[in-house]
Amino acid sequence: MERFCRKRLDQERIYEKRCKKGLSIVLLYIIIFSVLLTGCSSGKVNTSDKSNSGSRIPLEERTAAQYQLPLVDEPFTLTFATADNSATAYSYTQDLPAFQELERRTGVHVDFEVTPSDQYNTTMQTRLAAAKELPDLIRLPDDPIRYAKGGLIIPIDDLIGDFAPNILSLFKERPDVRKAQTAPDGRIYTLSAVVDARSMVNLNGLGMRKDWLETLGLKEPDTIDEWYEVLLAFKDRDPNGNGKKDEIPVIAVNVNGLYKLAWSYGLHLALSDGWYPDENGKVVYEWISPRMKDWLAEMNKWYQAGLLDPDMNSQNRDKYTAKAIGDIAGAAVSDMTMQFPQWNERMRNDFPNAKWEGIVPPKGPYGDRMMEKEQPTENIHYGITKDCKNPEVVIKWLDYMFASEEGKILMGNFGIEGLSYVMVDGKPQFTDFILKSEFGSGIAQASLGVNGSFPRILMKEMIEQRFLQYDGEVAQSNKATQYYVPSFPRVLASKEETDTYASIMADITTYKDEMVIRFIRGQEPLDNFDQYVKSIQGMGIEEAIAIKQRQYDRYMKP
Amino acid sequence: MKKGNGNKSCNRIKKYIIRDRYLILLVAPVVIYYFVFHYIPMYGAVIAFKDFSAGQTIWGSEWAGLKWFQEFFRSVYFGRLISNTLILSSLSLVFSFPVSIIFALLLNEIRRKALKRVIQTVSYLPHFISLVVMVGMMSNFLSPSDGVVNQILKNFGMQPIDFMGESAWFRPLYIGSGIWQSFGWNSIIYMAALIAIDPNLYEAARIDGCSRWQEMLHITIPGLMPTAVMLLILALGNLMNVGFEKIILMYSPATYDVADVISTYVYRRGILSAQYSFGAAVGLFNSVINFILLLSINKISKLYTQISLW
Repeated sequence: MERFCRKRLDQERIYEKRCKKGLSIVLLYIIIFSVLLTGCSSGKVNTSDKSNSGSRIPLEERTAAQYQLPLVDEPFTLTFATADNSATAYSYTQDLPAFQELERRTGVHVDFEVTPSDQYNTTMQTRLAAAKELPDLIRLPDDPIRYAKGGLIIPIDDLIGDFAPNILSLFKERPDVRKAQTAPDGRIYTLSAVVDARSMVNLNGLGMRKDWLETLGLKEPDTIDEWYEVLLAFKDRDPNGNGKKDEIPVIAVNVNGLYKLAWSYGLHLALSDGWYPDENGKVVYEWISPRMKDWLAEMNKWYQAGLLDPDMNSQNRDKYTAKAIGDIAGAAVSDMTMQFPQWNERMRNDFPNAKWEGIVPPKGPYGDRMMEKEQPTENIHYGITKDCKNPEVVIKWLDYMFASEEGKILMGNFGIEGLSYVMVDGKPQFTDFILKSEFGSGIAQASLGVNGSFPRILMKEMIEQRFLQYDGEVAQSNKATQYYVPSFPRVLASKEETDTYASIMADITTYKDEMVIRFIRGQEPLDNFDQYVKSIQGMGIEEAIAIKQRQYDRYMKP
Repeated sequence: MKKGNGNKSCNRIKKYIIRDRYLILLVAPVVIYYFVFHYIPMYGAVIAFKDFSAGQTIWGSEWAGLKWFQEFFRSVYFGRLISNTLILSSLSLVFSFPVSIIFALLLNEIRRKALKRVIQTVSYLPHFISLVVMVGMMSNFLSPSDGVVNQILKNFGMQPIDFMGESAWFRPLYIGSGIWQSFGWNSIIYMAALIAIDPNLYEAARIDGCSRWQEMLHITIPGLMPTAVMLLILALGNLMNVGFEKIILMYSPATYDVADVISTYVYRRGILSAQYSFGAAVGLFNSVINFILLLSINKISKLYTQISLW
């Protein structure tokens, strides 16, 4: 019996061994197979990169044949991944009217793959890391050059030169737009919306309850010190007259809003992230400049006096807006100025006297008064992916909807003739569908699919007409635009620059964000400012400055 | 000769497969699941040693050696991340681990079946609230401008506290809400262990004149010990993993100094700034530490209590 058992055990051991061997062979096959597979796909990427290189005629000297509608002979479906409509009730997947019209004209149907805009970047980054079965056209989640170098998006300058006459003429008219799209290797991989028309009407600025000033008999504050006095009065003297001290003098979605108040200290934190050249063209990291300390001291003073939004740390825009239209906020720092008349309308029923209005930025202790002007293009890039079967049609479609006169009116600005606009003296004129919409003109536009997250060129006429009814606000904007200074040019970075910059700045940004808020809230005494500067220097800021300097020089080169 | 032997053993395998086909069928989904979703992706960890960026294949990208590990060890945040991670997870272990045991013991003493069930069900409920909603509730209730808690504080003439923005409040809130959400659910396994205890033991004890307290001390608790130790070992093996989603939802730059842990740092650098290789290196480091912790604690437990995972 025992012998039998042992024999059986031996046999099982042999069988076990054999199985192990079998298993290892299977594993080996799997590994070889996967190596082969990956080898193949990486080969594919390389060839697509090569096919487009070689000597090319510069874009300025190219002319492409004008488009003919429809763009395609047979129905064509284009897949496009982008952030979903800002008007959340009208998802792009519902085939909105403007896209229906676009399809009727061009013959190209768009199949959207959308993600809500606040999750878009994270979702798309993960998807791009996998890099499989990408849509034809995508909105890139971050720096486009990295994806271009990885071969995920293809260069489009040759395509533009061959098939996109309107984009060509846009680049000719607006060299700044072309510069903003040009990669360090001189090629073009992406398109971005051209949005600077709005910055002359709808400003990224500051707002105040002008009626509260009247109620308290105060004049419009002109300097930072006067702002402090006015805000104190807002806090203590019950301007909303409900007998409670519930006023929040300054509301901000998050601490970034306060960066606009640093304009008065000559700091370009809001739109340039603290990168700015001095008079000699030498790029400076303003977050560690001596002026920064002054601004932090002032903000700390405001915080200690209870002038700043207590929820600055954890709130969303809905909660912020609720405060703005709830008659408890005195000044707002996180908005475009055309938000203010829209708030006033929403407050009309409950608080008929409420009057939010834009205000010119205050003058600082050193006499600085300025506003950073928006970049010519949006910092969102759209590119054609390696998986696109027919880049020619895609670029023709982009040329039509993005840059042609007709497409510009349809997709970027006015929408559908007869519905959202009519032609008056050969010029488009919004109808009441947009201007008198109960949800506001922005949502009305978005509900048609117009002026959304795709390449578009905003027309000054469109912005003006939309906000014409707010003539008071337009006058305020005109007063403020004289203080515009350009923000730091956005230059596409090379992959090496991005890699080095990202690995240095990841820690610095964490540290800077943390310390700025702690300085403002007084959790960190300002005496430690020098220590903070030293730490950032110790984290290698010099190298990051050098990279920014190189990019700036590249941009300034004619 | 050899060939014949091979045929023989292959026949054996066939025989085994046919004999145990239902058992194999039963276990197959789990094995396939683990293989497909937990073992195959593991080969992706190789990017920790490579210079990977989107668009390249994992095998096609350049080797980078230990560059990313060095970068992490040299980072100014290395010390803070490790200590935050360890403090946060050990504090939540210390405070939340005993709670579900105590709760199970208390519940065990309730003789009214209906009451017991009601309490049990109510205690599970928070487990089903999603984290996003939970943290949303917290930031609404604790808001310094209009939160319920601060309204109460104000009515008592106290200064409102920015709970979500103060470093000092982060850990209590994180751990407290974690206990609230999980103690009921975690007690299920102890309830199951309690049912498994032989009723004869209690009977014998009662005949010998034991009080309820003594019964609990000498029968119930020893009966729970193997389960508790097992769970403790597993929990210790996860010491370097803290609830990353919850921290992401709860923290802000103002509380980074206590709230920033390894996984949130990996998320910010690896995903948000798209440095996948760096993220993978830190993640791998984290897993290796966890693995070592698990092995050593299992060993210690085997030496002293004879209870171990394998």
